[in-house]
Amino acid sequence: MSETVSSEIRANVDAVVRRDGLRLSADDYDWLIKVAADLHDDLQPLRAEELRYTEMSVLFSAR
Amino acid sequence: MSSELPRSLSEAAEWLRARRISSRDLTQTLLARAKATQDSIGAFVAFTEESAVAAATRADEELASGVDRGPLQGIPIGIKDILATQDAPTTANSRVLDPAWGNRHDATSVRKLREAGAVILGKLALHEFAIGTPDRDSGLPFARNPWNPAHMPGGSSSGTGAAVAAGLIFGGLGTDTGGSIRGPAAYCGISGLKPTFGRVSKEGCVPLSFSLDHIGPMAHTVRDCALMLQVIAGDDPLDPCTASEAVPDYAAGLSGSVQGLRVGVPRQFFFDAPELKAEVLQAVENALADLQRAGVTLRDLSLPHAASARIAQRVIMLSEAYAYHRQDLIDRPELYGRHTRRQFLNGALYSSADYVQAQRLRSVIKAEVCQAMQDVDVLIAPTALGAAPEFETYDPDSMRRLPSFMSIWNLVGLPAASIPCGFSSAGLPIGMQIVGKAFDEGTVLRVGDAYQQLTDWHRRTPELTVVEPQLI
Repeated sequence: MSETVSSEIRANVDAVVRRDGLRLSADDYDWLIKVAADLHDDLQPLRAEELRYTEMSVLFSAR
Repeated sequence: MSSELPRSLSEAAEWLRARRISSRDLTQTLLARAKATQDSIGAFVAFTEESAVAAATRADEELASGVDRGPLQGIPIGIKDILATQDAPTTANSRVLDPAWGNRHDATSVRKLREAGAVILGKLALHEFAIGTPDRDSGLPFARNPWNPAHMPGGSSSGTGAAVAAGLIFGGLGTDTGGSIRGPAAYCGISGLKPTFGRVSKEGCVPLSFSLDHIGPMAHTVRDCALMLQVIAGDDPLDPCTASEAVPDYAAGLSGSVQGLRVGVPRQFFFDAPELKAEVLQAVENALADLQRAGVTLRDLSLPHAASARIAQRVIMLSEAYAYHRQDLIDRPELYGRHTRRQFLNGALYSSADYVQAQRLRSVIKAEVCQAMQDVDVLIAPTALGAAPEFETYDPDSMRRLPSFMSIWNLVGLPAASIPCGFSSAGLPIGMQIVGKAFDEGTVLRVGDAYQQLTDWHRRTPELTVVEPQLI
C-alpha cells in the first residue's frame, strides 16, 4: 500500500470517528485502519455494472 | 443421553404419554445434569428451575387428566439468551444491554412454546449480541463443544447447540443471521432449521440485523425440529416481517420417502472452494449418494453470485447492527467484548451507498437463486468448511476472508436446515445443509427426516468429559 493511499484511508477512518464521536483505543483504531485498507477490494461486488438497473426492496420479503 | 432417558423430543413425548417417566422427573434429572456440566460445557447462562418444575408439574397433571397440548407438553427445552423470557433477565451475553430489556415478558416464540406446554429449563449461552467471539479476556461466559471441550461449539447459538448435543435439553431456540443456528448444529452434531424469513416472529429478540435475523428450532432430529416449528411458526401482529402464509402440518409431511424429489447440487463455490476440507466434501457426497439410492434425482446447478453473497450479507448485517449499537459504542465502548466491539465498529465504515448496493445485490442473488430452484425441490450443500475449530487456534479476523456457505440463505431468506452427515477423523461432527423454496420448510424437513431414517449420524452422542477451565 502506498503512503498516499495509507494517508487517505487514515483520513477516511478519522472522518468516520469524528462524525460519530467514537472513542477508540489505539488497538481498535489500528484494527479499523486494517479493515478500511481492505475495504476497496472487499466491496468490489457492490460496484458491479449489473446493479445499475437493479432495485432494492425497503422491506425485505423472501417471496 | 444415557439409556434410562429418552433420546429425542419425539421419544420423550411418547414416554410421557406412556407414563414411563414424568415431566417433573425428566426436568429435575436434566437440570441436575446441566448444572453438573456447567464447568465443562457451560451451555446455560441462567437456570429457571422454579418455573420449570412448576411447568413440569402442571404438564404431568394435565396429561393425567386427559389434557393433551401436543408433543411439546412437558418437554424440557432451553432458550437462547437473546430472546425475552418472563422468568429470567435477557442479557444477550453482554454487559451493554439494559437489564430491563424485554421487561420480563415472553417473546412471541417463547410464549407459543409455553402455551404448548414446553418446560423451559433456562437461558442458553451465546456469542455476545449473537456476533462476538468467545474470548477469555472479555470475562463473558462461553459454551464448549460436548464432543471435545477444547473445540468451539459454533456460534452464535452456542449454548443451544451444546445443550442439545450434551443431552441437557430435548430442543431449544436459536437465532440465525449468517449461520448461527446451522453452524452450531453442524459443529455439535444436531439438527437445526433456519426457517424462511417471516415464518417465525422475531418479536422479543434483541436484534442483530433487522432484515437478516431468523429464529428457529435446534434439536436432535429433523422430526423434533418439525414439532417445534409447528408451534412457533405463524403470522404475528407484533412483528411486521412475519408473513400470513398458512402453516402446514409439518409432522404429517414426514413420509420417510424422497422418491421422485429433485435435489439441486450447486457444485461451483459450495463444493469446489479451496478451503473446503476433503472429509466434509466426502461426507456430503456420501449423503447425496444415499439420497440418490433412496430415489432422488440429483441435478447440478449454478449460482454465479454465490461467492459475492457474503459481502452483501456482511454490509447489511453490520450496517443494521451499527445503527442499533451506535449510541452504546459512543457512550460505553469498553463494556463490549473486544471482538464484538470491533465487528460493530466495522459497520461504521460502510456508507449509505454501500448499504443500498448490498440490498441491490441481494435482489440479484435472490432472483438468481429463485431461477435456479425452479427445476428442483431442494438444494444440498456443505454447512461449514470443516469440523469445529479449536479455541486456541481460532482467529476471528481470518474468518472475514473465508467463504461462507450459510450467509447466502439469510440474504435470500430461504429455509435452510443443517443436519449431521458424518464425522471428521478427529471424531467431530460434520453437517450438510438442505435448502428449500420460500415457505416450503415442509420439503426441507421431509428430505432431512428421510435421510435420518437412512442413517444414524444424528443418533450418536458425545461422552461428556470435564476439562480444567485453564485449558480452554
